[in-house]
Amino acid sequence: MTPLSVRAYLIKKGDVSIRMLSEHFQIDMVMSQLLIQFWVKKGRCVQKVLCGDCQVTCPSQVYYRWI
Amino acid sequence: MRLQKVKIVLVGMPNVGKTTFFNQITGAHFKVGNWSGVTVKENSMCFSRGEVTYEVVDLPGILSVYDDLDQVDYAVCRDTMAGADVFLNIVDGRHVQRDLVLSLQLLCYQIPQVTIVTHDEHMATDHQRLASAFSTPLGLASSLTLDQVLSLCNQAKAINPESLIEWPVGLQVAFEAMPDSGVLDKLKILVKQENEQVQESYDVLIAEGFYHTAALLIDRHGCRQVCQDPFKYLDDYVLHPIWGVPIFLVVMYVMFSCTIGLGGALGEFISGIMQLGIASFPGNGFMSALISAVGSGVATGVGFVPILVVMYVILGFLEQSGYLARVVILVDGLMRPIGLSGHAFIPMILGFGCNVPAVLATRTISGDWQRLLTGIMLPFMSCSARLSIFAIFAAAFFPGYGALVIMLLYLFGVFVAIASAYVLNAFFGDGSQSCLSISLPKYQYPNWPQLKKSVCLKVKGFMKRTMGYIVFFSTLVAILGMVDFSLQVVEPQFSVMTTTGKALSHGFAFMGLGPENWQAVAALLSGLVAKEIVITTLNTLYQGAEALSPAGFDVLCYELFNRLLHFPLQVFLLDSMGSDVQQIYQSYFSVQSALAYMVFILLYFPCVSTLLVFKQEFGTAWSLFVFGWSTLLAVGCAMIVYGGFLWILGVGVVILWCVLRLRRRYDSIVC
Repeated sequence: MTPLSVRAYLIKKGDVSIRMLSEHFQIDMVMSQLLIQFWVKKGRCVQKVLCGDCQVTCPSQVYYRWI
Repeated sequence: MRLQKVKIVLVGMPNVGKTTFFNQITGAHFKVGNWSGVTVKENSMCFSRGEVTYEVVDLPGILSVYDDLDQVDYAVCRDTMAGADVFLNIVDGRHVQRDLVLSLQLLCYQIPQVTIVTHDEHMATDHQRLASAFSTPLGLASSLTLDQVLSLCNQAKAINPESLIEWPVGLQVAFEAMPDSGVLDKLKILVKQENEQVQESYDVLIAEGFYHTAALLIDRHGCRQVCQDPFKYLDDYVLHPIWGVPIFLVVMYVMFSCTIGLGGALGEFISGIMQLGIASFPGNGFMSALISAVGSGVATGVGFVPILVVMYVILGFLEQSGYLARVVILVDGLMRPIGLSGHAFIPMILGFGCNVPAVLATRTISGDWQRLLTGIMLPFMSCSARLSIFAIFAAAFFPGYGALVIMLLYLFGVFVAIASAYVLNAFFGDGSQSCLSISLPKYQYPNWPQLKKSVCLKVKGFMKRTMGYIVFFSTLVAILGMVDFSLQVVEPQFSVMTTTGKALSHGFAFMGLGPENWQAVAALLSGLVAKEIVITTLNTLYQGAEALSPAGFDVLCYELFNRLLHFPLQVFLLDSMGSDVQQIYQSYFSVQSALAYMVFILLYFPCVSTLLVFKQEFGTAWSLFVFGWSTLLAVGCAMIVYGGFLWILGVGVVILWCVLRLRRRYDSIVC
């Protein structure tokens, strides 16, 4: 798993959570977070909270989308 | 004979255990925590071995060595790293592959490197394989001493990164076209350039090269591991969208119950014993009054120690277990509408201990405005010094509900911080939005010896910092309470303290303080120096006025055992006893004015140390702004609390309106 393989997966899947990325690439969630952070900092990927019913954000409801 | 100096620099990702390892080998006691961003400036210590002087330097965590990131501490790290003789690359045994990416980047410095693996008990790969993957001498942190580390450093050699890293083709071509210089310099130039030859920009190709090589090395040496966390299921509860917040409130309530119930009982006992000793001094003159005043101040100060010990132990337990880092995610939703992420809550948690390190911890926040906004929120976090004041007032005016009242005050501080940040962001904000991307630490059993050491250090620091102030101010208050402006000894009602206090007290009528309670006003002003001395000044002034005789030893023992026996029941809001000191407080304050006084102390101007650090980090203008802003809010909130039910109803409506506005803003961001 490298930044380019993560990008390909994000483009293919649409909304991707950290957990999905870890399971797909068989890496731990901390590594997935680092790779996602790389694209977020470059402004190529945005964080989305799909649950809009509460003020509280839980990690399982945070997704990342390629823009 | 010329002495040789070797600079050993600890480098690694955030929250891998650099400072813990630094403390282990050097015997230092720097702050550690189970989240990223605890260390914000470099720490160093020197050691001599024969003719060689070794300087060991601990740095904040970094994510990359070549990329320009806008965090203040990263610039400091890179300058220090450039002057290193050896790198101690600290690697988390649970995240070997992630840390190997940084390790490969460090090779570009062409400085000898030693790999130290922390959390090695969770490591799934053997020592030899890891050493081959990292291509450096490797040691396991749990078993290393300083001399063993120095011996590993002597074995380390610089490695040519070109021999190990497999660059993408486009990057290889760019390297060859560049003048002959170090790999790191080439990377720093390329990362800022646009790539016109191929589709990908150079910074993506550089990252691709490091990640690709790390994956290859991990597979080649059989080090791949998917780390399992046996407590992962706890996240389903503590981060639950509905139950997460109530669980957090229960945890806080239990913490304050233990602090007030257990710590308060022991504190009163110790303080009572000291008062007994002071009362046994014979005499009736100026010196006797002075000894009594200073002794009373010191006894009150020592009485805080058990309260602080209990609070530090519970906070340390929550910190080390990994729970406090989860709270960052819980509050992220509240921070989003003000343009901040849950990261801003980390300095706020530190602010519960002391506001000074909390202001320094804002260096980990990205973005100048976000950093400043977080800094402005910090003085509203109730530090441990304020806890000592709340503990006495809550016990006197809210028997049985003390813990609940204190917890609500803490939450009110957080609410005021967020609400004021919302207002400031609306006027001065640049509209930027930061998103939360945090590596959640694994749940772990607390390390009790480390916790004990950390609590001892904090208590020692409190005593060292506070006792000087307490003795000085108790002496000053006692002297000013006995002399007039011409420095002649007079009756207490004509003294400098009484005359000035009464004159100033008219300005504090908005929260129910008048000339009859001028002591409370004098104590508030002493809090400008340090909040710890508010309650000692108050006790000295009240006890001087009331000439209270201390309780006997048998009464103290009876009260201690009674409170300890009833302590588990106090958690469930059952009644507790009241002491003579509490009765004095009840005679000077009404319940409303006591609550207004507590709210004022929660919010009013920060202590001098906090203001000085704020000035150092954000400049004079913003530190003056914080002074004025916090005092303005303190006056407003104290007026509202003292105003009674209608005011509270009004505040409720305002809070509701704010929540609705926050919600609308939040929804608009999400959509």
